[in-house]
Amino acid sequence: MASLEELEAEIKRLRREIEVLKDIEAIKQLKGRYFRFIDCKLWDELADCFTEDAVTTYSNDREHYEGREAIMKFLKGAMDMPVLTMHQGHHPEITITSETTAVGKWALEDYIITLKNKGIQCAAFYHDEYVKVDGRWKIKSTGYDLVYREMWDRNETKSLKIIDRMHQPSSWEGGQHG
Amino acid sequence: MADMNDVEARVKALEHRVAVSEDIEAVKRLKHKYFRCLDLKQWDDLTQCFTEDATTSYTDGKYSFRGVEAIIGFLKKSLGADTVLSMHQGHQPEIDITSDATAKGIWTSEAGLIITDRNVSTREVNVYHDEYVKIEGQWKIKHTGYKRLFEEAWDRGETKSLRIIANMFAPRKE
Repeated sequence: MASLEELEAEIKRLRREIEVLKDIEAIKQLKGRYFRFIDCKLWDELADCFTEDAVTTYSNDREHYEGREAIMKFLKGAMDMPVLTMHQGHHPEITITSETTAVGKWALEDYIITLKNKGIQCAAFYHDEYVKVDGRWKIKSTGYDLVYREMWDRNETKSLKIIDRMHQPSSWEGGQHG
Repeated sequence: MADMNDVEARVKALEHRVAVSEDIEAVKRLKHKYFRCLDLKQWDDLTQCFTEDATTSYTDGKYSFRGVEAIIGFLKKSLGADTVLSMHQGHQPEIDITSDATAKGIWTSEAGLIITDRNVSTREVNVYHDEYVKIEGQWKIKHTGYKRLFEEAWDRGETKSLRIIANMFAPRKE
């Protein structure tokens, strides 16, 4: 029969394994909120996903921003501008690197409709760093390298109509529209 | 040094945490089955996904139903015809286990439909808010509904070269 010390060591090991599984799930949910808040244009909630000193390297580092304020200014400017966005994160590869740090890769597909009725679609791979602050995972750095991005004039497809949408153009608060 | 009572308490705490992880996985699987049954038109299996008294608030509450029979009736009417080909995908689940037998979930989804007899395509993007309950060890959907981000539709006839080259629900040739 196992001694008490051996049982204690076993419990400690199991606890750590479960903690890792919980952290992986929490990070997946963090990224899920990030995408959902972008598409629903919930900017305050989105800001809360980042650390104060977060860094972005979007679009092969062309969209490089440092600090939550600069990142939010960019995201709000870019995502308020198009009429509608859909961001999907696929195939998460999350690695927990310590009790409070992790890295993750995600495949991205997005689909964007701008005010001028342009369609934009892209496939890309995200590479993220996360940290746990006061028990909550946050994005410390995020960015993606594009596989491709394409753009077209939706007016060319004469029959193509938006028949329902959450965000009406008239309900926006200014900003540059593309 | 820890005694046996202490070890037992810690094992119990671990068991609870494992159960939560298993529940999250089971709820994801339930929703995956729900989407699969929609696309494959497997209505009996889909019925099993819901509680008897389940409710829906699809399309911002426009399609609200009470009771599994009414819900399946609606889904069958919307997606049941062989002339409707559907692809439903759920993304980025945010599952929250709220007790041993209750849970909440948020999913974003994309659905693409091809209406073959009218040669029309639609794409809709939605955010689901669900409630789940565990009944006799099985997770079920107690409430499901979505807010719509957008929906668009187009005439497939405009793209002259576009052909369907495989169709699970095509009429059988004699």
